[in-house]
Amino acid sequence: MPVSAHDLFLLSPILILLAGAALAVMADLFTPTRDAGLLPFISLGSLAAAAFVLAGLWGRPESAFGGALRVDGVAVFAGLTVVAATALSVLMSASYTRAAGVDFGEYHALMLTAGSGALLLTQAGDLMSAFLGIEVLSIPVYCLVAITRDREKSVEAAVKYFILGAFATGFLLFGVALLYGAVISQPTAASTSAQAALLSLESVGRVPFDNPLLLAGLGMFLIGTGFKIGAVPFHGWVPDAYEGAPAPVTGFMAAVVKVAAFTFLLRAGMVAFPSLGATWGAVLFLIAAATMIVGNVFALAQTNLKRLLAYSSIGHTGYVLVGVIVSSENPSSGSSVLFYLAAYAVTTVGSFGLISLLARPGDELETISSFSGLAARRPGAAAAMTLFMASLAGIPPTAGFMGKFVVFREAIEHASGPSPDASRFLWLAVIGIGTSMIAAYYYLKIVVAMYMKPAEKGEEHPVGADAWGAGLALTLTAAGTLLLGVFPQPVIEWSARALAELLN
Amino acid sequence: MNLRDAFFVVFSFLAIFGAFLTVTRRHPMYSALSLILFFGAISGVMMVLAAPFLALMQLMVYAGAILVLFLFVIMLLSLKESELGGERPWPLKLLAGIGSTVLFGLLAAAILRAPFSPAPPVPGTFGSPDAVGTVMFSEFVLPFEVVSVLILAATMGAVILAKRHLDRPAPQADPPGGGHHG
Repeated sequence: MPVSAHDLFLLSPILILLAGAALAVMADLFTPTRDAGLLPFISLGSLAAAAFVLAGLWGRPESAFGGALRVDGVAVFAGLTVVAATALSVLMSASYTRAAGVDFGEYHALMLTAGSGALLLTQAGDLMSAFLGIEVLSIPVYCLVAITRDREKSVEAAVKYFILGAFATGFLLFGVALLYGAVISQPTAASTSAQAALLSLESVGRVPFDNPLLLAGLGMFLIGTGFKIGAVPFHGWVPDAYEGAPAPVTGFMAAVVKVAAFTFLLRAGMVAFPSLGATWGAVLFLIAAATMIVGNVFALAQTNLKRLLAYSSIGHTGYVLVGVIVSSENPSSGSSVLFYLAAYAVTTVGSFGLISLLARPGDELETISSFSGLAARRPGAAAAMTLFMASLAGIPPTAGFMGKFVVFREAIEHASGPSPDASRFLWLAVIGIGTSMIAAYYYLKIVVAMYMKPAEKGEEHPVGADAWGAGLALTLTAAGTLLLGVFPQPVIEWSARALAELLN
Repeated sequence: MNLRDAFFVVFSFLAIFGAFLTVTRRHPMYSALSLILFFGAISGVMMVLAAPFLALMQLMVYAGAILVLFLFVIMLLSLKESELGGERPWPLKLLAGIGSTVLFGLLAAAILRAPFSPAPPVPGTFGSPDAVGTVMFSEFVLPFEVVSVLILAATMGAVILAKRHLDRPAPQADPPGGGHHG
């Protein structure tokens, strides 16, 4: 099976990001002054080019490399979300990395490589591309977490994340091997001429769901992906890794890793495990409910803002899981997951971007009390933070509200559906809405600190750099958060069209 | 039981024994040496399963290159007895034992109960370097290239994290990382 030029064209968004990564490393070598100011532009340029090509692929579902890649609506929608979140993270990194002394080409190269892995994961049509996508996404992120290597916390977080991530990879790979075993144990497998086709999600989907190898593989696969998305009980690494990583990297992790992993989970659930919801519904229900409850309840006790947002991101994983579970029985609901991911990505990149903006060299403004009186010191930043917190809490008119609205609406609508266990969806929605109310308390705590408490002694001065990159990124994320909350209709329609292409 | 099956059983038990020693030894040096036994035995299993190329790669890459690196790092650190940490508390050991036994039981049950259809005969060239290379550069060329990107990214990350001095002439006056004084 020769590689055609058209295959390469469909692969080009990934290739463009990798070319940008190569350019970023070489720019470090060949610019005479070794001025790092050029680097963000290289990254942004390649991201813009990749976004341009991806957008051009919209509406023409195709597969490349014999089905290893599926460039359909879901891949384009999630891919554009990934590229946008990466671009915003790059913008926020510019001043932060300079202050921390880590503004090397490698920083940008690692981020772009991770972005290309995320794109590969959103497009994965077989188990091998999915696994490689997860690894190309994860390994650069481990390095990025440790990149401020003078900070002990950063290195500690990276080691924890790396070891648990490697452990999860082991489970995932074992699961993939068992799923492959389930496929080749089928009588039809012998007549398949192309080896690669045996790895495709469709072949897994054709295996009867009571095949013991399939069930064992699915279990391992769910454990592996559960680690990557930070679902309870595999969430232990999230608070430490989010707290220790440099703030722009945390934003990147929270947005890009989640969007890519959930997109693949959605695709795998629909194509490879179509009867997952009907048979394993109880397990998925428990995982989603526990994730929502644990994330939001543990967030209440946090005094460190990054840890608080880490637990909040666990809670949001639970909300997305509700969407994934509902759509595993009602495929058309999958569009709510895509919309939620886009809304969450914009908001979370914004909130971590704000923490990076307020950071000083070697010292991030992390505790909630250090945000006291921020409204007087930096009114713009405080207003943006309020918006992000409102969006994470799900208060209208923000992106987060619309995201929760579409996910819970699907859950409630299908609760009276034909499936006997459909009442489970209603319970998920109830737990989701209940935990959102708890969550509102801790998000508002931050707003109260910024507006109603006086600044701590010695902290009365304005903080943070007036960096154009971070400022622009914050403006964009704040605008995005508002726009998705006020005019969500076009994006909701795109997500529905994207999903329709996957289902056809 | 023919000779091939006998070899398979011997190598399999050696692999399990090596893996068990790897996780139960307290000193990393013994763990690493047990891992060599495991890799060697797995390579033997691959040989029995008519995958000579994979078997050779397993020996060269894992038992050869990677394990030597492991041993090198362990010797470089030369941990003292006191730095190894105490014995793990017994409830933890028990829990780990139960966990892995349950996992083993589940997997064994799944594999034993799987409805395998008889495997089709494989061509004589199966598993040869020639056949593996042909498949790798035709059907699986995308994964092959992605792996090279993965290795490049890992190398880049390792270099940037392990380099002794990050000697970028700072454009501003502050020394990197340490410019904050209240």
